Amino acid sequence: MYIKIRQILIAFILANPLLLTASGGEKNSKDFNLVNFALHHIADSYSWDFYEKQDGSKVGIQLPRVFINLKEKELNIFASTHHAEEAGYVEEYLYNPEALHGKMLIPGAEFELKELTDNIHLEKDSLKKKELEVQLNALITKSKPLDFSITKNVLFMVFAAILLLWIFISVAKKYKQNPNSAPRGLQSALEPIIVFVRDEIAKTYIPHKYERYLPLLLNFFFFIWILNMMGLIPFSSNVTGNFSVTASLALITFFATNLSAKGSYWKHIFWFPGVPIFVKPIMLVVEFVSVFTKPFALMIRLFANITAGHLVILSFISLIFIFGKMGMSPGAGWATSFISVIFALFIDFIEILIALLQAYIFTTLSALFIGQAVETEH
Amino acid sequence: MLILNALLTPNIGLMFWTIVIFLILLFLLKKFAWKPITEMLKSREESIDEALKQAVKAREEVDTLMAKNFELIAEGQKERDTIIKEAKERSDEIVNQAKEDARKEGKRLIDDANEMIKRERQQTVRDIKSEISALVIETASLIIKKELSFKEEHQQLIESKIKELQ
Repeated sequence: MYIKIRQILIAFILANPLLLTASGGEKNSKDFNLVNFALHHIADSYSWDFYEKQDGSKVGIQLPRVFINLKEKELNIFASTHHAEEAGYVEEYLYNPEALHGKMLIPGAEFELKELTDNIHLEKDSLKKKELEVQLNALITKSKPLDFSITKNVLFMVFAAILLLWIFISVAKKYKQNPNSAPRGLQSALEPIIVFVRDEIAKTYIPHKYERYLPLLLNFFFFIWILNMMGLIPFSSNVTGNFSVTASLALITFFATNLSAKGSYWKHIFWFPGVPIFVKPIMLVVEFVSVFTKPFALMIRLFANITAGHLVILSFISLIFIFGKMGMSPGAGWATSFISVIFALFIDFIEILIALLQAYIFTTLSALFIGQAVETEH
Repeated sequence: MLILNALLTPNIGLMFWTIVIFLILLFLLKKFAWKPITEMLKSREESIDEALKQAVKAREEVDTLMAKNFELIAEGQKERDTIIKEAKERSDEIVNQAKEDARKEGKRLIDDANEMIKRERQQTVRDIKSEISALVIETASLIIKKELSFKEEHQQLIESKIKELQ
């Protein structure tokens, strides 16, 4: 099993830069924009695309769109963005160049929007133009539905969840089949990690009530780890490098911390013991802010680390096309590709380490925060 | 940079799905994986601890048993030695006793025999004496009777009687 996993991983690592190269190649004909290319790659998407044709159309799987139309107070579910457009939903980027492709506005908004944009184009007075732009932005905000679409990230989280369920339920079955005997197969690969999370993370930071929080911590660890690893696979989704995903995970830590907090935790926040009375209000502010900065740091740390790794790899790949363009010859591109692939490979190896490390750090800090809130003695 | 701005805007739908998926996964894994696995790990650790403790205990027991065994063996050897010694003493005693008894018995027998012989002899002597006296009386009576008849015959008779006696 070990060898199989390793072989698969190596195959992916080897394939990763090359496949990214392939997907970057399409931009060759146009002006190559490194920032847009890289950011598009790490962004969420409303379809699972495999490649882009010469004419710019993408080949992939369209994902379902789920909207709550606040104006009409109704739930709209479509099989794809295309179906949503047919039902009258409009692309936001037509009116707001900052919007990502796939962001939709509710049906019926387009006439007003079109009128406003036309007016902006016609308006010569810059002051009035600004005023109209503000109006347009307000209208766009008003026309946004609540978007609960199954994006690529959601799809990959479901994949990860199914994979985890499959792996760990089969492992749990093995434990039941041969109780009190030595682990074998996949079980022996995962058991040290489970024991590590239990002993080094849960028991260390939540010494007395670790058993209650162990499932949550194990879930954090393996969910983040598998998503980090999946993010390294070409064609898959960069889930943990997404701001909203890490924010949600941090939110879970936030609630796990504060909903189970004991009196001494609140006492430390609102009436810090052992300091002079005039310091207490200052500590109150500091401690109260820290309640929110802790999960905020969790969110930023995971998001930034994973995104940074992806950006570095994408940058190395992009170098090939930048140099190919500068020299006005494919030769420079080929020459750069040799170095770029080696560098990207190196970063990919580091990313595998970071995938594990960030899962560990997120779990450890969550355990630390929960431990501070739950454990009474100091 | 426009897209970067969009990347940093939280997406309510994605957050919703993330939390929903995470919580469902937590519920399912907690029920079907984390709980059974951690419980099994705990029970296994406990059984290993128990087994180790028992091994130590068994070892101690074996040690004490061994010591006891040695003690028993030593005691047995001692006992055997004393038994053998005693038996030897006893047998020596018995043999000596027997010898003594035999000697005494022999002596007694011999003494008895001597006594009997002595008595027999005395009896015999007495018998002979009485016989002789009877004979003498008879002879004397005969002689007295014969003297009246034949002196010579008388002489002859005495001599023959003496011969008889010899």
